[in-house]
Amino acid sequence: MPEPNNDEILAEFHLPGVEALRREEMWAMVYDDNFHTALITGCAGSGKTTVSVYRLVRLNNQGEKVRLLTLQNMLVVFIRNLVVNNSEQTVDIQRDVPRDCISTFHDWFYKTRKMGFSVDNPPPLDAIHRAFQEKGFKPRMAVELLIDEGQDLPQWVYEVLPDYYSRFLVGADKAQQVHVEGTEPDTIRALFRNDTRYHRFLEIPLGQIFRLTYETYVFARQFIPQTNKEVWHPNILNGLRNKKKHGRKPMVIPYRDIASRNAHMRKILDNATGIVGILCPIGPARLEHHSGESVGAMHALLASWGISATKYYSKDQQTGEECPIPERLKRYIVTTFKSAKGLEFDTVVIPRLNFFRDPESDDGTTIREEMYVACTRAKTHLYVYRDLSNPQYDPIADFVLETYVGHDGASVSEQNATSVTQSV
Amino acid sequence: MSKTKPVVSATADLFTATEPYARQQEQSLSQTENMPIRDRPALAKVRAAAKSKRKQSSYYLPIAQVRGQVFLAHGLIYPTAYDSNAAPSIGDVQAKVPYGLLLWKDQPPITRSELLFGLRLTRDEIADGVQHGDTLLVSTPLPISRLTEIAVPANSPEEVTKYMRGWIMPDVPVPSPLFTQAAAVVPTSVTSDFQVPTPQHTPNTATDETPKAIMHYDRMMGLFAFMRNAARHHSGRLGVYADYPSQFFHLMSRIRSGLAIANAPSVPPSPFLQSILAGVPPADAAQAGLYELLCTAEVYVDKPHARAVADAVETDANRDANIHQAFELLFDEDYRAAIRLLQKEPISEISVLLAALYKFSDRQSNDHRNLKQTLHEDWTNVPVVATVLGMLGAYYGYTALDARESRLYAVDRHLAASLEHRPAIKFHLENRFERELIETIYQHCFYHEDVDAKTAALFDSMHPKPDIRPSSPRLGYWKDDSYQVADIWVRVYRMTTLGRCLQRIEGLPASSIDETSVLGQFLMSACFFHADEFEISRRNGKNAFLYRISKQRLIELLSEEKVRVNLKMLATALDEDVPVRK
Repeated sequence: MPEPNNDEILAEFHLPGVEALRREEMWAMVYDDNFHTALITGCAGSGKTTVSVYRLVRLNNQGEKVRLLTLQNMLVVFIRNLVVNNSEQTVDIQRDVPRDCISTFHDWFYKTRKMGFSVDNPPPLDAIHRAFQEKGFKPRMAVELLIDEGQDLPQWVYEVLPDYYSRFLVGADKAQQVHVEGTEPDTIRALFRNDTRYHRFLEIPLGQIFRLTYETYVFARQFIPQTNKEVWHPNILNGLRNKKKHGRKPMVIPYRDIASRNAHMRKILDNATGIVGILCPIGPARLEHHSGESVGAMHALLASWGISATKYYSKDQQTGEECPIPERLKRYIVTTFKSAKGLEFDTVVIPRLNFFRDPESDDGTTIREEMYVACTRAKTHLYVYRDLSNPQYDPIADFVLETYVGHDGASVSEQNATSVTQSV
Repeated sequence: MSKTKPVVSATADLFTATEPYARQQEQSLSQTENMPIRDRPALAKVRAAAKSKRKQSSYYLPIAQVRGQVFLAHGLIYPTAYDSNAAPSIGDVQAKVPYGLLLWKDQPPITRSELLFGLRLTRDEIADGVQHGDTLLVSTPLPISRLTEIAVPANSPEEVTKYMRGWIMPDVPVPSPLFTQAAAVVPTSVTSDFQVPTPQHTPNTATDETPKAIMHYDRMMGLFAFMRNAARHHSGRLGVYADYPSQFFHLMSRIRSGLAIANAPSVPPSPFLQSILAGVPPADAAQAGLYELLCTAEVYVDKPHARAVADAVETDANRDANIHQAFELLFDEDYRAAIRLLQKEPISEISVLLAALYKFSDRQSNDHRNLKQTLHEDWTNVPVVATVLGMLGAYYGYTALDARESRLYAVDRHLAASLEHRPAIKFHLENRFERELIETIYQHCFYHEDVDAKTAALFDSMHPKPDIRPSSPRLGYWKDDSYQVADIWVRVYRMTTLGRCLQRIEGLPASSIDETSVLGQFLMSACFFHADEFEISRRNGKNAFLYRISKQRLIELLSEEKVRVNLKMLATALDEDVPVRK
């Protein structure tokens, strides 16, 4: 019998427990069925997806017809993995959520309406009405539809779809809207509230960050200019502090040669527990200029160390390369900053932070936002590798030293100027 | 905390007199089953009255659904004042009596957002409570061992099942046999308008020992719950499986006198775990340091504090080089290398515990789940694993744990079919043993007492027939060493020597065995003519025997006893080729 290989263990996903839900005032939303339309608002990491997933699992377990739609392929895979075998109930009581009950909005729309859908160029309202009527859809045909990342879907979604479901719940955040044809939460709220056909509209504002620790957030927000009032809102830190959401400070590991970086990273990966995200700015290996920049090359490096990992990046605009969407996720996942949106990992490793896109097309704002996304995926541990030999662009050069520790775990601020740049 | 001794009261006398009386009534009724049908309604009334009298110690606690789940997650039913997370908006009747639990003798009507916990109380608890009409106000928390029923708002048995299926929180154990249909469901809560009895118990917060007792209870429950599956995770690696590590029972016997543990293999419980049970820091400086880390309210154990304890451990160990190197590795983020070093004999228990606590101390993370994933790879000594899990269970506390394991890792494939895939961590009240364990912990933490016979008798009616089911699965190369403790059957399987050898042969990197390995040389005489290929030739004037046999073929021959070899020598030959990783 082969030796059990830890690297082959699939990723295990866990929903938060009753005390965490109660503390964040999310518990009631998991069990409240007395609404027709509902809107959950809140910043990234506030638990909007958690509420939707909980409702999905509960309603499915109770034999109700329920469906969850989102936009990111990887998030669909994450949620599909999350809802398998993941409740207190024993096998004889539990009902696994059918795979098809969770999909991207695009897939669902195409499969059920036989029409293509693009968030950037969505079909007009009258075409949607026609499509529904032609396909013979009837009002209230299913119990509940859950929409995640609702801010990126067009307005007709909220004008048409609630008619076809007994309950319709949307999670949305204005700050995370990336598609111009999307719908702001204010508009969704007005539509739901003013529509007299719907007997009860429920709004649940989730004000606090649920996923991150205070230390990770203090570090990560420095990627975003202080002019961004939502990210820099003092209530976020106050909330984390009041709820004692503390953890270890992020570790920034400077290096001058790849071999020493790799030796350190291998040790970190070997000792990392739970789901480990290795996040890179770009996908295809052939676009990489420096080691650590691409998903393709990092995945190959991990394989050479005997670490079996899942690899994913969406279609690259430049090369047209893409990875097939994985079915099951291994506990090591190598993916891009962008594809990691909406996901969370016990440990996040960023093998090379000093990445800079073509200055003519990007002033650095986009990549800093992506780095913010990458760092805020870390639930417990964040390791960032910083190349001192060829810094190009060093996004954390102006970070407050107290917000992270060096490779030996000591506070950087406590070290002298020489040791600040001392590499592994 | 002192427990008020029972006051001789009418209630107490009634309790004493009621049970035999009720039984007599039922016996006499059963003898009149053949009476005319017209008399049956009267008979039913008498039967109900008898039943009602017998259940004098049964009460109902109306609560909001969320708090019902919270109590199960905590394993404790406690007044609102001790619930730091209770939202003011919950507004169930219990919120009106912050320092008490308001119980009804009969089921009060409930709303859709409420449920009822059916509970058994001791005579002392009833006597100490404040009686007010149909209600009783008790001022101390009650253990979940007293739970007899969860009556939920439902109109049919199907609705009860549906309701129960909605309880999906990973940290809430769902004792499904206890779910019943509530007697009456009303649109508006009748209990919310209830005038609470006076005087209410309001302790002096400065001297109130209850919060400390609740915390100690949470730690001890966590210790036992997290420890109990310690020997389930290694069967595919170490060739040993047990439902409970025997250390579990020996530790429990320290706080529960009369627990029959003669069948459980003797493993002395860890002195450090005994200190946790006692709730008293050990005298030794290193152990006291570790104990302090364990009791910290911090979210995780940071490096400076862990280093300070490591220094004390090193001093105690006379600056042992192995331990020193292991700690250097540990604080350099290489826990796995540290653990490998620390498991070299003689094992320093305190060093191992410190390493595990430092690595997995983040209370707000998935540490309590993730540590199980590598348990079978990192640890080779089951009693040490039991101690590590016991300590970590006390550190996290019962509340923080999952109700069930995510899965079992490294399960031997011959055993897999007969084992639960997701065994319980938290107590699901499935047998009397679990209830007595919870009661023992409760009495120990809140009253510093053992469970007396009268309290234990509360469980007689809950588990009247011991549900002991000796298992007899097809075990292949496993020896069945199972045994009984109280009303539970503890499955213990140990892989036979042949089984271990076959497992190791299957794990060999090459797909076949030939004369070039020590194993091949040892098996040559027995397997030569069974081989897939063989050749006898003369080379340099000597006979040369060459052969090759596939692993699968060899396994078949050995398992079907077509080839018989000395198993100790076979194991030695395997050791020569692939040493066992210690």
